[in-house]
Amino acid sequence: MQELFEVLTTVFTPGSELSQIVLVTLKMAFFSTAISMILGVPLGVLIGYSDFKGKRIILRVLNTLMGLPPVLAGLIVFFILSRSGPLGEFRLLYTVQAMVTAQVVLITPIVTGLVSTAVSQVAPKLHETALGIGLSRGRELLYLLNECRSQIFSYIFVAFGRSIGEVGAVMLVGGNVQYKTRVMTTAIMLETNKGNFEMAVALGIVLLLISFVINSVALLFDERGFAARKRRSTIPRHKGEGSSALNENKKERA
Amino acid sequence: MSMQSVHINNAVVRYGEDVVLDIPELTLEAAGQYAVIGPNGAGKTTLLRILAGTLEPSEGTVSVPQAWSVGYLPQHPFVFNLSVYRNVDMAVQDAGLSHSEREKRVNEALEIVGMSDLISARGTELSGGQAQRVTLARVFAQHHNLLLLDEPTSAMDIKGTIIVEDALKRYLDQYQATLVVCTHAPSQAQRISNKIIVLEEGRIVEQGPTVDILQNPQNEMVQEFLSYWRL
Repeated sequence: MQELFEVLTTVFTPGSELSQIVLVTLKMAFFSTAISMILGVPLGVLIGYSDFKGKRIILRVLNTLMGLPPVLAGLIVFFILSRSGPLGEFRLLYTVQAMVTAQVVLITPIVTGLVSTAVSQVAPKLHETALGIGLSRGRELLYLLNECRSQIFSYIFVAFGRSIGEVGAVMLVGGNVQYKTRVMTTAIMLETNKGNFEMAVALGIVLLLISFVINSVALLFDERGFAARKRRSTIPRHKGEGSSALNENKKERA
Repeated sequence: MSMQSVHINNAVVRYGEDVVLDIPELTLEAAGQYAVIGPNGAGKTTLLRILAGTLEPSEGTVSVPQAWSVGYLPQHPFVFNLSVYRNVDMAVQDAGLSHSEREKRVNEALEIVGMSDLISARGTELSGGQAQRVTLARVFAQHHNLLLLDEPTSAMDIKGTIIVEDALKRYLDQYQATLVVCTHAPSQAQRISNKIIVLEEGRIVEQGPTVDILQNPQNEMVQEFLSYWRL
């Protein structure tokens, strides 16, 4: 308890090593989640919506990549970014950018796979209806995204959770450099190796707390959105309420 | 060949090796009201899909007059997680109408299917029958010449069915539109069509005026199919 209290106090002390670790962790998780979503959502929509030759093979590859071992992803990125690798000249190894790259390699297939599954469940019926009423392809895709928005929103947190909890790949390409690439998970590894178990557990609890706070805030936004949608919906339960719903809607549109 | 009618010539639809539709010739006259009946898997939906252009026949041609606009209501239409109003409005948003004309069209369409009271409800909160009425309102709002409706009242109770059928009849009278409706219910065919096309295993086994087909079917399969209805 004493250790946890100390850790929590240090986290909120500006300039301390621990606050730096938390900041690097959040930065890495934020950028890797954002990039994975930017890449994974359109790819997932494309795969889930379209029917093309070779789709089955792509889905098999995607499913395999969804289970890609983090150490292997780290190793691939390590080779690409190492001095003799194709991107060696950019000197990115042991930087936060390298860690983000490894995370993107790991998380993008997961986001793509999840989005593709969500889209493929809605797309066929929506497509037939869209053709029936003559919706343009662009509008159809917008409506499709709108129908899947709750799932896509939840995948942001799947990606964030995967990123913030990752250790193998970030250790390989980040190197756990103090004040530079050390994140919560690699710090926990380090403390465990040093035999400093109390500190390792305390760091683990802080990591969980961060994850809990971020998910709670997201859930709050989602619930508010749901409540707002519910308020806008006015199914009349009793006779006579319908006309007021009609008037409200007219007012809204006016 | 009249330019004011729909023609199907030697249309064959195959799924792999299986022939699911084989229609050597079929003509649908303007302002005709056709009911397509037949057992499950007879090819009713496939016929509607090739007429709608959402499915290309493997062989043959389907010609719809160029000036005609086609409204197609699939068997399982999608109701979006938007308000009822927006669910209908999306059908006319690209029609080049003024805001007031668009609003008038949507409200009229919702009125004729009896859904004006639920204008602000979300699509996901509707019952199956209500959802079906909303999807019909979409088609009505577009003012098409050719309406292709696949089991449009399958989720409705009898009251809802009659309301929609009356609305449909008024629409057909007003716009002189052609109707092709797939239905499992010969009684519905009797109420809303003046011609019946009976399909079995992808082929037309009998067609003619509704009264003749229902009262005096010539084909053995049609006689048997209709005998269950008379029970």
